[in-house]
Parts: sequence; structure tokens; C-alpha cells
Amino acid sequence: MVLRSNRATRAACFSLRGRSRRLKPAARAVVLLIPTVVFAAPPAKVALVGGRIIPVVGEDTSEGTLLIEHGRITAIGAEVKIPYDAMEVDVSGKVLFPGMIDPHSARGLDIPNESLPITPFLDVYDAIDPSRLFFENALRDGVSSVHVMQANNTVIGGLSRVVRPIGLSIAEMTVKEKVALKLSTTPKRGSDRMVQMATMREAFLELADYLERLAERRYEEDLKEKDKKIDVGPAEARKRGKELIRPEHYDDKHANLVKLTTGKMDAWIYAGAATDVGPAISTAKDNGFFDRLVLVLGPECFKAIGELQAAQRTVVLDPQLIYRERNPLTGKLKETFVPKKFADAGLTFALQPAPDLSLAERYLSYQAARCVRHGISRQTALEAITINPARMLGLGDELGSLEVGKIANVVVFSGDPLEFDSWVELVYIDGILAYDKSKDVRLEQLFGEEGDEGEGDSDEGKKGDSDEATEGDSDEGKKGGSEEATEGRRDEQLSREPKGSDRQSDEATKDLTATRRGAMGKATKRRNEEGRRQRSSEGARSRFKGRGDKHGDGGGDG
Amino acid sequence: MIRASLGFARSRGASCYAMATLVALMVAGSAFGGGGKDLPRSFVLKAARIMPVDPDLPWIIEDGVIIVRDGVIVAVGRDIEIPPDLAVVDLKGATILPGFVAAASIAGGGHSGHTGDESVAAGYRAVDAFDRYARYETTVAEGVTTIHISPGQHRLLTGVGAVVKLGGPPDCARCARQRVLRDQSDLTINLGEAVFNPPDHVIYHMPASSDIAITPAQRQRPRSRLGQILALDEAIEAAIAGRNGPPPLKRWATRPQFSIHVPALAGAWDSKLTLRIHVQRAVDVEQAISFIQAKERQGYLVGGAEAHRAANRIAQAGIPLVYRTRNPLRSPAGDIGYDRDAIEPNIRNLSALSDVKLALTAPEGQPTAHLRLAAATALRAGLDERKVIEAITRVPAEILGVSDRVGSLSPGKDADIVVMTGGPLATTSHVRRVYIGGRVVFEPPSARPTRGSDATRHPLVVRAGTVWVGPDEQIKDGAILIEDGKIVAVGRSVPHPPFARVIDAGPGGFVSPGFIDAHGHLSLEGDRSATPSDIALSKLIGTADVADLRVARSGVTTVMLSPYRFDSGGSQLSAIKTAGRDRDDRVVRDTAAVAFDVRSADPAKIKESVGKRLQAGKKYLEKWQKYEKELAEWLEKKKKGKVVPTENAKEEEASDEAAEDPITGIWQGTVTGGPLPEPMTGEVALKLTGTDIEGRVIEPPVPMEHKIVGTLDGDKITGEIQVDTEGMGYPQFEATLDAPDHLTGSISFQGISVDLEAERIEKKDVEFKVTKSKTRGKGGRPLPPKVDESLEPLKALLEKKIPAVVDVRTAAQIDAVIKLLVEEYELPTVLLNAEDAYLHAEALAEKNVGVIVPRAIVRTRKYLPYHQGDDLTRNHVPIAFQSGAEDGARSLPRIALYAVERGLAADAALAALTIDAARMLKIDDRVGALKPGRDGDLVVTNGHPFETGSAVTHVIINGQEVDR
Repeated sequence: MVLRSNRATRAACFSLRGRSRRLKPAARAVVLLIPTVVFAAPPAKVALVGGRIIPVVGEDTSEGTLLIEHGRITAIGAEVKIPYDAMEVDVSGKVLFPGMIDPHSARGLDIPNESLPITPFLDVYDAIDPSRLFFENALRDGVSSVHVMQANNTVIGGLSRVVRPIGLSIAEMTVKEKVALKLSTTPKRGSDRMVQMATMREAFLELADYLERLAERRYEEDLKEKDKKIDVGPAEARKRGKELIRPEHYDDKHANLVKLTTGKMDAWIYAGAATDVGPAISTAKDNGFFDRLVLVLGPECFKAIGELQAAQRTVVLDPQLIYRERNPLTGKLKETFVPKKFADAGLTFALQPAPDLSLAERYLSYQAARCVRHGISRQTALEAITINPARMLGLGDELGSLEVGKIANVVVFSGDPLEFDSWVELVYIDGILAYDKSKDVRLEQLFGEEGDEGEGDSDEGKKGDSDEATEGDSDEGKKGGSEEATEGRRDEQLSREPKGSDRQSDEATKDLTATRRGAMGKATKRRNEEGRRQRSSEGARSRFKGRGDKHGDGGGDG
Repeated sequence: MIRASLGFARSRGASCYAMATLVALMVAGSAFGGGGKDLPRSFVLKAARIMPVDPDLPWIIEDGVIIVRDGVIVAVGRDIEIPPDLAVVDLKGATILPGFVAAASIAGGGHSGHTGDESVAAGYRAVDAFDRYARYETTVAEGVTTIHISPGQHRLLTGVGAVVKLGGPPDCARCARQRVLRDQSDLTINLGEAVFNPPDHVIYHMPASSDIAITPAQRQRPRSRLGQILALDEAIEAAIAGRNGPPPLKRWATRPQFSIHVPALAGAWDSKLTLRIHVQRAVDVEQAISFIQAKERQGYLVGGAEAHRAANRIAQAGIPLVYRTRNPLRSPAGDIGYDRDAIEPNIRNLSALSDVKLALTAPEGQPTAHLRLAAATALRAGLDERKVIEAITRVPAEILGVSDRVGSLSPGKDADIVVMTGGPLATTSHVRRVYIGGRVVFEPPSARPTRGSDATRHPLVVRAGTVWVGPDEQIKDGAILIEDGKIVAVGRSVPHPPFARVIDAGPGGFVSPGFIDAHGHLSLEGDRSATPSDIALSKLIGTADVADLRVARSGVTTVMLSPYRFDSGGSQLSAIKTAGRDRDDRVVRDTAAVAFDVRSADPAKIKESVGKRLQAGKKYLEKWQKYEKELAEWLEKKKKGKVVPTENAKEEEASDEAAEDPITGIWQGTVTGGPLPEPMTGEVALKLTGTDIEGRVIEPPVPMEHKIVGTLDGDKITGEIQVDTEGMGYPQFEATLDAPDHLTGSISFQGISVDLEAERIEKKDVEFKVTKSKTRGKGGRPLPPKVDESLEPLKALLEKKIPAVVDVRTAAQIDAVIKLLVEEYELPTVLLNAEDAYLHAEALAEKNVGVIVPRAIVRTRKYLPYHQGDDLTRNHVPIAFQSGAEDGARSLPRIALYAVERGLAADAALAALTIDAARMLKIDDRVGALKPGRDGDLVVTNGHPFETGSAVTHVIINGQEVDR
């Protein structure tokens, strides 16, 4: 993909940033809204040189070069001839890893589900919000493809699509559209299993009924066109009309179901409990799409491992990797590490990140690392966040590994991807540098590291910064005993900060903390708004309560 | 030191043994199925009674055998050959029944929210609502293994029911004998008031379109009893018509919107599903029977609160009835008042149904698990036991169409087996184990070996023909309940809490308190040294080891643990149990008695030697008594709000100029070096009297009481700072007067020394009052005296909390001991050995002094040997038996038996082994009798323990059966 507007955007972005030194806080907030995507001009050829390469498919290269030409990987290995016109990027000491894939997420949507049970006529295209902080965070966490799909509160849901977490429109973001239909055998909210399954059966029986009616209708319409009178009874009309049906004759409600039952569409069925696994498999078998089935499982589903093993379908596991169960008679607690059961059963699985941003489980690499910790082989764990979801999405030839010919989605980690202190430093999507940690405004606001950017910020934000700090942190200020601290002093301390901490500037450090918290509050607040919409944890919010939430809505999510 | 290492070695050995036992138990447990999946599903069950509930087999098979292979019963009978390759599980006194079948349950069923509102909704399947992977412990725990699940009872036709098992392999993909027995077993129809006036039915068209008119809400039937059968007929006819396609002239545009319920009803009707009709009133019964007969279908009735009024009709029609008992036990309330329509619950109504093919279930809305209780209630209606048991096993299985798999124990059926402790309908019997498909799916939780000391002890009920409470009280056909290791109830009948283990010793069984060895050396392992008087031997013991258990198995549950030799100052004896999970579990009393040895003492000197020790104890006791008195007074005063002045030990300083000497005056000093981070300065007032120096630190103020004491020798000063260092000695100092008014030196304490330099800044004389030791704490609270471990036992003795055990031999010694201990000090006294005790029998009886008789003390009377204990007991002197051995204590019952053989009354011997020993050793608050509140220590024998042929069958210590 080529970002047509990226040059313009970049220019706009920088000019805004430049001007913002003189801007009011509100305007500054607007600047912050612009995703941390760094729209670098895409050089036609990029060579990532000197890094350790973990291609997931194939052998690791301890020090090698990855060559990207026109958005595709064209060469990989220890000895790659770098074309003269390629832009060389030194990534020595770093680790190259395929862009990770979030296999199942409704967080890009404004509302995850409709209230109707049967909605195969929907497409997530209409509900994806490119400005969601979720996409920005996905990028920051090294996720280069997100499978946006309706959530589990449904019987038959709409169509999903795979998107990149960059781009200003959905069309720009899209990697693959109409990937799969979402189904669920776990009861929709306010429903029960009896109704859920009856509704499911009804949907497919109704489809058959609809096709008969359509055939009859088509026959009648056909006669009408020919100005003929209806000459046969309904039964015969149905028979004759069948051949007259063309794809365009199906109505919205049934078109996708027809594709599904004729094996032209994937289905992802959510089974939230072990007992829902059987019905999910039999639904797929009975309606002719078993071969195109992916199961999205709840944490308890490992109990149905026998059924899953017999079915041999790929599965997406719940973000909650440990299942806990208490014996009602003895009160004994039993813990099960779910992915281990699947790995032992030899099933192919993909891992999901947790929706709660305040947990470490939000990082796919952390989820994989936990698998390794619980005895799953490193290769299996790495596959579960890269190539496995790619294959499930029908993109096994395009994404999910660092192989020649594949789309150049590359994450540059500062260390091993499964180490918790490794950072995502760079993310290339389609060969474009989509994320650069050193230019991540939000991280900078959170951690306020020294360096060029930090200096610039403290200068430019003389007024803005202090305003926010005092507003957002009045209680914090009291604690530090520095109510009388003036803006000037604070700025002074800011510039002094990088010199380190000697004992005398204790107070200064406190003040600085207050300033930082103000900025952090700002970042957090937006994160919180995102979280609220996603029903994220109460804890994350309360932790930052009274800081970020106070100062108005200077930066809505747009 | 030796002692300590000995104890350590011992406890290590003990824990090794405990581990081994644990492993053995776990292996044993898993052999019979700890509930795991990988266990052999082929085995042989043996039990006292098997009730197969099969018409072709006897009703009860005594001492029967069931052979199970791969989860299927292959043989049932009394004398059948047991295949050598199968493990035999002997369930001893248990009763075996088929798993109970609940023909109606609250599992599944019921829609949530506003779903399932269609009056006729054949498209719903109850099996969809069945969670195949859930755990149903609470229901299985009551023996229910198969249940019917219903799609609901709130509408006229709620859907299709199913029959499922509550255990066994859940995944239907791979196994033949899975949990779901029938996924579509019946078409559920409900008649009566509950289904009248269903809500209007609304159909939404989606996606909404201007092409489709919004349809008004449709009214649903039935409105009344008149319409219920009509509504059914209509729905069925419409469904059948719909199945054959739309009427020839009805075109696509005019057909109603598709609903799953129409084809589902047509399908169900075509496949001739059994009709399951819920009825309440007699009139509904009539309608239901007519309906079933008119449609020529299989069917049965469920509920039938008024079924007794139509009993003949039901019996004539030959239609089975699943009767929901109206259980007066569970819901005794429920006012009826003057409501003429109310159906009066009357258990007698059931008797009218004796000719009907009857299955019983729990009352409506109550847990399915209450099935057995429902059946037991039915007994009260006068139905015979056989019919009642069949009504929860074979008959419901037949009605539900699953009798080829469950409902009875006959070859070919699934091994769904309930093991009960007693008769299936007895209120006191419990489910001991449940198998489904040959897998153990339930066992009372704590009956399995559990690791760790927090494992709960399961309640235990011991029943026997004779419960020997004490020599004066025996209960015929009695029972004892033990909970948490303590006896909770003793009597003709006792409560049976859930999961209680029941040991039924039968009519010949005899339960007596655990036996007490009044003087033994268990756990000493040959260590013949005398223990110092401040050590309790109970510190040596840990988890019961193999030697301990050997003793425990013989019925000896408590041992008075004594050293081989007694310390001259009096040794401590400890009362310990022979089994227990840990040390705390095993110790009855750390210091249970103080023992003196006067065996070889001159009787005249006993008063001197033992008396001296008692004097010391008495003084110690008085100190404590004084403190307690003062404390009580202080507390009293404090309670009344009186301010108790602190006895201020502050010293007054009086100073005046005095004759000059090189020391007296105020010295300002600096302490440096050692661990001190920086020099410390202070002022010290010193006074020289002759060569003695006394002084106090005056600056900085010292919070503690202290005193500087030293001597002057030339220009050398040596001394110490007397300050409370909790027994670590005083800091020492030495210094030299190197110049007038100037000294240098050092202070050392615990190997640390600091340098000292001081200068006299004033030459005034400072007087110090002699301080007295502090006797009062904060707020004037009296401070307790110091604890002396070696005198503590004597204190307890003098307080008469524990007895004195005195090893004596001769009559003169006995006399001296009685004079000193009993007459002078009035102490509880027990004589050990005391071969000449019979000479003092009357005096001993009068003073209530017990005698621990030697192992074999046989005298001859008229040329025949007899036991001395007889002499004593005849004179009402309490006696106790001793082993005087380590694990040789296991022969204690034989020692007693020998005494009985030599003339002692059997009950007297039993009393000597139990209550009398406990009383004289003052441990009768814990052991020695079968009374509520005492420890759950019992011995179960198959007859009086001192009858020939009696053997110990069970030993229970702290409510835990000792593994035999």
C-alpha cells in the first residue's frame, strides 16, 4: 500500500508541531491527537542492517540484513547485497520480528454488536473508527495487522476485515475485506442456550426457505418479463426458478449466508464455554462450512479438547490464559494454563491480547512469553502471534513471517521479543516506517526523557505545561509542600532535571514529578476515555482518578 | 544437647514414615478412583448388600459381587467367579444400588429474560441448555446419576426434552456411552393454569424495509382450559400441513414468515416422540390421557398434584406417572387458608397411586438432589419400599426410554452405581461413593487422603450393639458422633451430618474409650537417661511413626510418657496420643504429672528429699499467687477508675560540698571508638566511699535504671555499669587516673570496647538513694515474677492441676508418701508400681489415691494365683495398667486380659484401662470416657474386649481411624 497523502500529512503535522510552540494548551492537545504515526516518506528500498532476524518461519539469523523493496521483503539473510539506492537503516543489536497480528478484536469498532441476533448483512467497514487510540496502541505494541470483527454478543454477526493500524480512512487501512462472518454459540446477552441454538438453526432453515421463495419469485418475475402467465403451481415454480437465481438477486440479509453455506466464506464461531464447542462444530458441519471454520474460544474450552482434537480446526484462545475453577464440595482451587493444553493436543492456536490496557497481557509478545514460561516451545509461542493468525485469516502467504515475497511488516525490537524489557523501537508496515519510538509523542509525554524532543517540549510549552500541571495536580502540589511554586521555578527545574538528582534539589524533583504527572494525566485521560468505551478495568481509571479527569475535554477523541 | 539431637533424629524418621504412609494412601486411593479419568474402569465391587432393582434378579443379594468391565456391568450375583485380572474393591458393610434417575429436574429448562415466549415452541431443545462439561457434584453427591432436562413448563408446548447423565465422558464425538443419553426424548406439553394467557407474539422484520408491513402483535392461545387442547391440535395440524409445502395456491408472497417451531413440531410429531404432559389438576389428567389416546402416541404424565383423584383412570389407561412429591419435610409452612382451589398437600394421596406405574421426583422447584428424600417421604404414604426404590431407579429409566442403559444393575447396563452406608431410604444412611460409567464421580471430600494439616476431618458416626460409656453406663444399640476430632453426641441415635463416615460395628460390636497406658516409654527409643525436671518429654514426638501406630492399632490411644529414670527434682510426665497428624494433634498435656522416685529411698528421708522440692515449689507458687492477687486488686481498682499511682523509683539527688577525694564529683566524659559512629559525651556523678565507687549518669538522662559500681585501687578504677541487659551481663569498665581530675580508660561489653576519657568538672558530692528493684510496671500494674521452668510443674502440682506420680515399693514408703503428699500437702497422688499397696488399700481408698499396678503382680490366695488389682478394686482403690515399655505398650490390652483371667472383674479392668486411669492422671477432661466434648478416641471390638475371641476391629484417635 502506498499512503497517497502521507507527504502532505507529514508536512501538516510538522508545521503544526512547529507552530505549537506558540499555541495555547487546547491547540497543543489537538497536536497530541494526531497519531504517533511518523509518516516517513516511503523510500522505495529499505535495508535493515545488522540486526538479529527472527523470521518465525525459517532459521534465525544472528546478524543479518532484511531488504525491503516496494513494500515487499525481497531478500533476507546474513549476506545480502544492498542495492546502491536503498536506504540503509542500522539496526545492529536489535531484533527483527514479523509484525504481530491481533487475531480477533472488536476494539476498533464504535459499538461491538447489534442488538439483533442475526445480522449477516453488516460489515465492520461501517463501524471502524480510524482515530481510535486502540490502533495507535496496537502499533506501539508491535501489532501490524488487526482482524477487526464484531464481538461475541450475537448469533450471526457481520463481516470482518483485516486492517493496518495506520491510515486515515478505512479504505487506506484495509488489508483484506470480507474476511469472515462472526457467529456465536454462546448465548447472546439476555438470551439462553436453548434460544441461541434455536435461533441459529432457524437462521439456516430460514435461508433454505428463503431460497425456495426466491426461486418461486424468480420464476414468476421471469414469466412477467416475458409477458407470460403463471402456468405452474408453486412447487413446480420453485423447481424451475432455481436456475434463474443470480448472485445479485440475493437480498442483503441472505447474500452472505449463501456464501457461507456454499463454502465461499470463512466463519469464525465464538464458543465461550466448553459446552458450546460441540454445537459450534456441528453447526459448521451441518451447514457446509466446516472446512472454513475458525473457533474463537473462551478460557474454559480446553475441557472440550477431545472434541477440538477430533475437529482439527484452528482456534483463537481467550486472552485470559489461566483458567481457575473451584470444587464446590472441597473448595479446592484448580488452575489450568490453557494454551499448554492446546499445545499438548497438537492444535494450532493464536493468542489474543487482553483488552485491558493496564495489564501486561495487552502485549501479544507477553502472552507468548507466558506460554514459554509454562512449557510451550518457543517456536509454537512465536507462531501463535504471527504466522498462525495470518493463516487463519487466509493471509499466510502475505503476512506473519519474514520471508522473501511477503509484505514487509517488520517490528524492530530492542531485544528479544519475549523479554519483558524489550521495547518496540520501529515498526515497518508495507515497508513504510510506521512507528518510531524515539518520535513517539505520547511515550515522551509519559516518560519525558531528556534529549532533543524533551528540550523542545519544555520550551514550547511554557504556558501550556504549567497550566495543566497546576490544574491537574493541585492535590499533588500540596503533598509536595510547594503550593507557592511559581511557573518560572518549575521551568527552571525542568531544564535542570537531566543533570540528575543531588540531595538539595529534593523539592525540585517533587515539583518535576508533579509536572510530569500533569502530562501523564493528559495522556492517561485519553487512554481512559478509550478504556471506558471498551469497558476496561475499573482499576486503571481509579489509579489516575483526580489527575487526568479534571481538566476538561481539551482533547476529545475527535 | 543429646536430647535435642535425639528429638531431631526422631522427628525426621517420623516424617519419613508419614510420607511413606501418605504415598501408600494415595496409591490406594487412586486405585479405587480418586475421580481421575485414567483409572481402570474395570473392577469388581463387593458389598454386604446389592439391590440390583432388576425384575430378573433377587431384590437383595447379600454379600454380592458386581463385575464391571470398561464401564459396563458384566455380572451381578452372589457366588460368581471373580476374574483374576480385575482389582477387587471391598466396600464391606455398604449397600449398592443403581444410580438414581430423576425423571424431572430443574437442571436446564427455563428461559432467561423475555425469551421463549411462544406458546407453541417445538424448536427449543433442552439438550442445548445442558452444560456437558459442568460439574454436578452437589447432585451426584446424593446418588442422582441420570436426569431428565426439560425445555420449560411456562408455555403450552415448550419444546423437546432430553435425558442426560451427570458424569462420564462429556464429548459426544468420540465415545459410545456419553453423557447425553437421548438428545430428543420427548415433546413437552404443559396443561393447566400456568400456561394460560401467554403474552402477545411480535414478529420483527429485519432488516426493516418499506416493502414489508409491520405486523401487529399476534395473540397467542390458550386463554383457558377450554382452549389448551384445541391450541395444541391446531398447532400440530398446521405444522403437518406446512411440512408438505404450502397449499398449492398459496404463493410465496402470502406465506407467513418462517419460524423454526413449525418444522420442528412437524418433525417431532413425525418421529413419534413420546408426549410428556405436565398436569396438576384431575381435569388436566383427564385431558392429557384423552389426548394421548386420541393421538395414539406414547406418553406419560408429570406432576399430578391431584393425580390421586384420577388414580383409577391413570391405572386403567396404563399411562405412567412421574409424581412430584409435595414434600412436607422441606416446606412445612405454606398457608392454604380458605382458598378453595388450593391443592391440599397430603402425603396419604400417594397411596391411591399404588396401582399406577410410578416414578417419583423431588418437589417442583427444589434441587434434583432431593430425590432420595422425596422417595423416603413416599414411604410414609404407605407405598412399599420396593415400589419406592423402583420409582427412583428402574421405572423412571423405563419411562424416559433409557432403561437399556441405566436404572438397574444387570449385565449390559452402564456401571452407574451408588454406594450407600446403609439402607437406601434410611434417614441416617449416606452416599459413600458414586460411579458413573465405572468412574468414581463422587466421594465425600475428606474421605480421600489429603495432604497438609488443614485437611478437614470428616464427621464420623460409629454404631455398635454396645456403647461402653463408663462402668456404670452402657448403651444398647448406640451410636457416637465425632466431629473435628471431638465426641459431639453419644446415645441411642445421633445426628448424621452430610458426608459423615459411618462405621457400623453391628449388633455384636462393642465401643469403648481408647485405652490408656498409665506409664510407658513410647518414643524414647531406649534412651535411659533421666530427663531434667524442666523438660517435657512431649517435645520429642512428631507425627506418629510405625512404632506409634503399632501401639495405636492395639487400641492403646493414650500413653503417659515417662522417662526410664526420674530426676531427683521430679520429672515431668507427658500425656500423648499414639496417633495424630502432627505434634499438636498428639499431645494431650505437655506436663501431665510430676514424678518422684522413692523406690530405693529410706522412708524416713522421703519427707526431707521430696519435701524440700515441694517447699521450693510452694515458695514459687506463693510468689505467683501474690502477684495474681495484686494483679486482681489492681485490675479491680482500675476498673473502678481509681488512679493507681506509679511507684516512682526516681531517685532524689541531694548534693553538698564534701571532703575532697580524687573521685567524688561530676565528671564530664567522652566515649569514642568501637561501633560508635561519633563520639558521645555525657556527665556522670560519682561518689567514693572508702575504695568503693558508686555513681549515676546524669547527663544525658538515661531512661533505664542503672548504677555504676566500681573500686578504686591506687589510680586504677575498675567496675561495671549495672543496667538491665536481659541476662547478658553488665558492661565493664576500667580506667586510670592519669592526671588530677582526669581519667582515661575503656568500657567493654560483649566483646565490644570503646575508649573513655573524662574530666572532673565539679567536686560536689551527690547522694544516691538505694534504689529498689522495680515491682510495678506502667500505671502501677504489678509485674509478674520470673518464670522458672523447673518449678513450673511443681506449681501446677501444688495448684492440684496435675497429679504427683510416685514410684514406691514398700508399705513404709507408701505410708511416708501418703503422709507427706496427701496429708500434708493434700496433693492428687498416684502410686506407681506400689507392690505393697494392698496393705494400705483402705487408706488409699479413703484418700482416693490411685495405683498404677505393675505389669504382672500375681499373688497366691488359697493356692491360686490372683491379680493384686483385684484386692485394690474390691476396696475401691482405683487402678490403672502400665506397659513400662515403648512400643511394647501394644500388649497393654493383654496385660489387662491377664488380670481379668486372674480374678479382676472385666468391667473393672476396662475401667482401669480407661476412665479410672484418666481420672487419677487428671486427663479425664480429654480422654477416658465416651462423653460429648471428649476427644474422639475409641476402640471398636467385636464383643467385650475381655471376652475370649474379641478382637479390635477399629481404632479411632481424634476422630481419625487408625489405618490397620
